[in-house]
Parts: sequence; structure tokens; C-alpha cells
Amino acid sequence: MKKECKLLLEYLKDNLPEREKSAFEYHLKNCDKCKQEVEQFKEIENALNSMPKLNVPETFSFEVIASIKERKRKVLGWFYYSAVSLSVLLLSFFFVGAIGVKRVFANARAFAHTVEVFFSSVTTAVATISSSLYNTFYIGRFTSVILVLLFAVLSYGFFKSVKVFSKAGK
Amino acid sequence: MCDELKVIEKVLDGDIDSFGILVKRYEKQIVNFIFRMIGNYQDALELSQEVFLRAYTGLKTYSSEYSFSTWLFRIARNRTIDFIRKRRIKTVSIEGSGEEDSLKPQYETNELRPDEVFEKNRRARLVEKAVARLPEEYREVIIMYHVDGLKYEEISEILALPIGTVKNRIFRARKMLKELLEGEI
Repeated sequence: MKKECKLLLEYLKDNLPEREKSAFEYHLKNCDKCKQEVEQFKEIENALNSMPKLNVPETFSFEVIASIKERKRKVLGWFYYSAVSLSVLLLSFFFVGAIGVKRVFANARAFAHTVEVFFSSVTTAVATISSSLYNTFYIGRFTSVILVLLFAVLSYGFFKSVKVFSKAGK
Repeated sequence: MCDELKVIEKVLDGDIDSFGILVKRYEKQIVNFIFRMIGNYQDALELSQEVFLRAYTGLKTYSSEYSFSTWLFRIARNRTIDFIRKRRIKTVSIEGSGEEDSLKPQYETNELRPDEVFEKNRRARLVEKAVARLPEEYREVIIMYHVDGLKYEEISEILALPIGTVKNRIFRARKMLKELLEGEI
């Protein structure tokens, strides 16, 4: 083994300074063992360099820009909604402060009472109409059974028609 | 480089379309790197898109002391390693047969005789398979150096490793490949 042969590893690692590299390359002409090893590595290098490169779809950069714009639009949207919600919240505090807390609660109670009265009137109206219909069309003790069956048939018809219409929509 | 900095300034001033110039310039290198690392074309395209999106959102943090390509590669490398760790991919299989044409990787074409094409493809497949079997830290340096054509200095900056370590890894990777491809090419 010649003393230059010791530089083989550093040569293969591309660690030699230019002068030593040239000297080692000169040594390669006279040393078959080093030459063979270097050639094998060169073959691997060439094979790696000739690995095929992928082409990127023409639309790739447009898609990237489109996704950036979409993301920016979403961020702006969230910013807008947050700003509006915050403004509404601040305004409501302002109104509560301006009108007075006691008055706001009194108004809210009055509103809740109106809603309650409205719903109890609706419930009374429905109960009255259904009892008068039941009394008018009473056909003996099987009335409840017949009504349940009628209800089932109507429900079936309703769901069937929803299915048909949704398919037509698609 | 100077021209690149001007483009970056324009993007930072709100001109999103100018970012397309940077995407066009680096898309091939990034997609090739990610594809060779994970082995799936569709995933590579999606991941590359995400890398550019991250680069856009983080552009404010880019410092011109590094080249833009180094900075971009660092994002691509970190995202790819995350992806590999999440999917627990140890070695990859380079696929080329998707269900649809759009999912198949499209390679560069050269004008060669049919027998040369056949031989070249055979060698390329063998090398691709061997590279895919390399451990992650060796695979990435080999792809950066041989597929993306990056210099030792650039790889060293991307991986935050001394140049000597990069050269050593490339050498060890080639040595492993030499053993894997013994008598085949």
C-alpha cells in the first residue's frame, strides 16, 4: 500500500484541497486498487445524477396563488366577523349603560311575558280546534286507532315525497 | 439573487401574484425533493403546495442573510420530516402507477434510442429503489445533492450541519448504495 492510497477515503469524501486532489488523481493512473474503487463510486455518482427529474403540472403555481388568496379571504372574513361581533357587544353595553340596567331588565321581563302569553294562546287554540274536530268526527272506540293509522299513512306519504323531490333536485 | 429580493419586497407589499414568480422558480426542486423523500406523487404535490403556503405566510420572518432557496428548502425539509414521522415511513416505495393519469408522476423526457431508453429506465428504477431504501438522514442529502443539484454549502445551511458532516453523509450514502447495487448496474 502506497502512502497516497491512504488519501482514498478523503478523496471519495471530496475533502482534499485542490493540490492534494490533483496529486491523488495522478496517483490513480498508477494504482489499480484505488482506481477501481474510485471508478465504482463514479459509477454510482453518474447513476444518481441521471435519476429522472419529475415535471410539475403547469397549473401548480396558479393553484398555490389561488390557495393563498383563498386563505387570505378567509382570514379577512374572520377578522370582519370578529370586528362586527365586538362592535355589537360594545354597542349593547353602551345601550344598557344609557338606558339603565333596571329598565333593561324590566323591558326584558315584559318581553318574556308577552312571548309566554302568545304561546299559551296558541296552545289553547290548538287544543280547542283538536277537541272540537275529535267530537265532530267521533266514530266509536276505534277512533284513536284509526287516527294513528291515518297519521302513519300521511307521514309515510310525506317522507316519500321529500325523497322524490330531493332526488329531482340532484 | 438581487432580483429575488425585489420580488420578495413586492410580495411583502401585498402583491400576491409576484409570489408566483418564486413558486415557478423553485417548484420543480421542491416537488422532486419531497417526492423522492415520501414516494407518493399526489402527496408530494399537496405537501409542496403547503410548503409554498407556509413560505408565503412566514415571508416576513425571512432574513436575506440566507438565500431564499435555502430558507425554502428548510421549510420543505422540516415539513417532509414531520410528514414522514406522522406516517411512520421508514423507507419509501417510488410509485408510478396511479389510478388516474393526473396522479402519475410525469418525468422529463430525453431524445434517446429505444434500447438506450430501456437501459436508462432499468438503471433509473434500480437506483430509485436503492435510494428509497436509504435511512432518512442519508436519503435527504443524496436527493438534495444529486437530484436538486444543491451545493455542499447550501445543504449544510439547510440542515444546520457542518460541511464536513454533509460530505461524510453523502459518502456514506453512496457507499450504502454501492453495496445495495452491487452487480446490478
